[in-house]
Amino acid sequence: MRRVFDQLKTLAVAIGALALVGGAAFGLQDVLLPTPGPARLTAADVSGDLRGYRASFAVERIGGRRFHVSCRDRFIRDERLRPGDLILIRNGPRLTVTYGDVDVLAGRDPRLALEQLLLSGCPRELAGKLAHNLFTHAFTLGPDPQDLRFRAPAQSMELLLSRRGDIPLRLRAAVDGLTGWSIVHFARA
Amino acid sequence: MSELALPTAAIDRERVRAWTAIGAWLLVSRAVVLAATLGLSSLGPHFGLLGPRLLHGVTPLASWDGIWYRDIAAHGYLLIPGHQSDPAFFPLYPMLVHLVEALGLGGVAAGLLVSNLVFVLALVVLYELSREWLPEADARRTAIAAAIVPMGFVFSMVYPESLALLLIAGAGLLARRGRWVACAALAAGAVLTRPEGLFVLLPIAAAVRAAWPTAGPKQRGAGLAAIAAGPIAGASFVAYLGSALGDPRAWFEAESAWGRSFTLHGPVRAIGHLLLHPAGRDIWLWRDLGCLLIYLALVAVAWRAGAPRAWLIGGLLVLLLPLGSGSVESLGRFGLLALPVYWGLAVLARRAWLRPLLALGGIALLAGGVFTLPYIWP
Repeated sequence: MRRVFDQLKTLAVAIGALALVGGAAFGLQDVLLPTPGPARLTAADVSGDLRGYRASFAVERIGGRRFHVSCRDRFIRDERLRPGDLILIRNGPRLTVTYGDVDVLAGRDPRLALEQLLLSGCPRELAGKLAHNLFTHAFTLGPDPQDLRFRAPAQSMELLLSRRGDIPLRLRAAVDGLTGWSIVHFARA
Repeated sequence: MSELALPTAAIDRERVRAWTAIGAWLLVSRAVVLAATLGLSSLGPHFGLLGPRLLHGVTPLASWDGIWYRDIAAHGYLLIPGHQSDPAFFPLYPMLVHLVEALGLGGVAAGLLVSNLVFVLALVVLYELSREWLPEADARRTAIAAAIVPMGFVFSMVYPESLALLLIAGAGLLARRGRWVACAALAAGAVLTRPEGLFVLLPIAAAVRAAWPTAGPKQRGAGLAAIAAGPIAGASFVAYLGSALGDPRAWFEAESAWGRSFTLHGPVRAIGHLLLHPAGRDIWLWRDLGCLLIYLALVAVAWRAGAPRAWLIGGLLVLLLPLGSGSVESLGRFGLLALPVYWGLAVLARRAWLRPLLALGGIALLAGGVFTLPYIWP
């Protein structure tokens, strides 16, 4: 009987001490570690959700002109085959993007090309841009919590997010003073 | 003197002499690291890959993972799905940096202060632990070996290795002395600092097993808790990330994005990768492979000298388990937490003719290691 009692006591002490250790460890992390602000959390969620999409279709308005733009995630062959985005502009040129480098055709305005890329909502490019800028802490939420904004050198961008999921519906961007906005639809294939 | 006596009661002349010698080597080694860092920064802001922001003054010591730890200390964790993000880094070190930052120090200064202060304590505790089974002179040399080990410049960086060394050695020492509650706290802290901290449960389990026949139910319960404290602390980190980020898989996802998912054929891939890509950036992997082989040889020396088996197995796990991720990358740094490596060095240094060679070689490589920082993470 005494042996059983001793074993129970051993078990109770072990469980009690472990509960204390686990509780203290969790509590200390909760108290001592800062928590990320809602804007950074939202930006991280958007970046994650965008990974589920492979294409986007956007109607862009830049400086009073309207562009119909589609973007597909595919392999781009330049000096070698690399993952990138192929951007098609109706009645306009074709842009390719690999790892954020926009391939601008000769004679085209690079500022306009970058603006078109930002507003096209290319899922891979936009997700990467959000992830990259998360390290610079450039994000804020607008008066409406669905309005996510970020600033990078010479660029600013605003994403109006869906209330059902964290997918941007509307984008506003400015590149070196050239401003525009777009309405975007995303597709998984 | 009782086995369970407090260390404070055991401060005798021999200890003071040993601590003085360890302190002197510590000062020399940290002066070398500091001088090398300042020398590196003086080469100009565009030397290597770090860039001007990270290559002036002591900031090379705050580069690479140091940036992530400072970011956690300042802003907390954030999982960015599909991208390398900070939930892969363990929380105790950035928690301490965050606390020190509250005193008004910047992130770099706070990180360097924590790492270096903790390293002083780590060497003293390593000496005390080593005295539990090694002759005094070997225990002293163990701590000195840790001070001058070539990859040991990491102990002075904004990295958690010095804290992990302190907590692993501390948990092991307290286990030997039967102080189970404090041992549980340190074992938990070790796991919250680095994943290698988990393996301290092996020497703790060995100590509990040794004490079991004569222990009462209370001591046995506390001993069992000390064994399981590490895993429970690890689970608390997963739970914390789940609560803070809304994703209990945050740690696993972040590890996967860093390429640290483990497979059984990982070691084969690691060696294959080295042989197939012998040049370029991967040339640095040969440094890590060299470190691994030397560390394994030193563990063998410690084994021949009679080091406790639980520590040897723990050390081998620290050295070999990362190979499961398919790379030898950073093994030179990971191995700093395999304590039998230092015991092996101490045993080798019993030969008087070898001592100056080890000391000078260690110090020279320590300085050289700092100069690799602009090219490769440790």
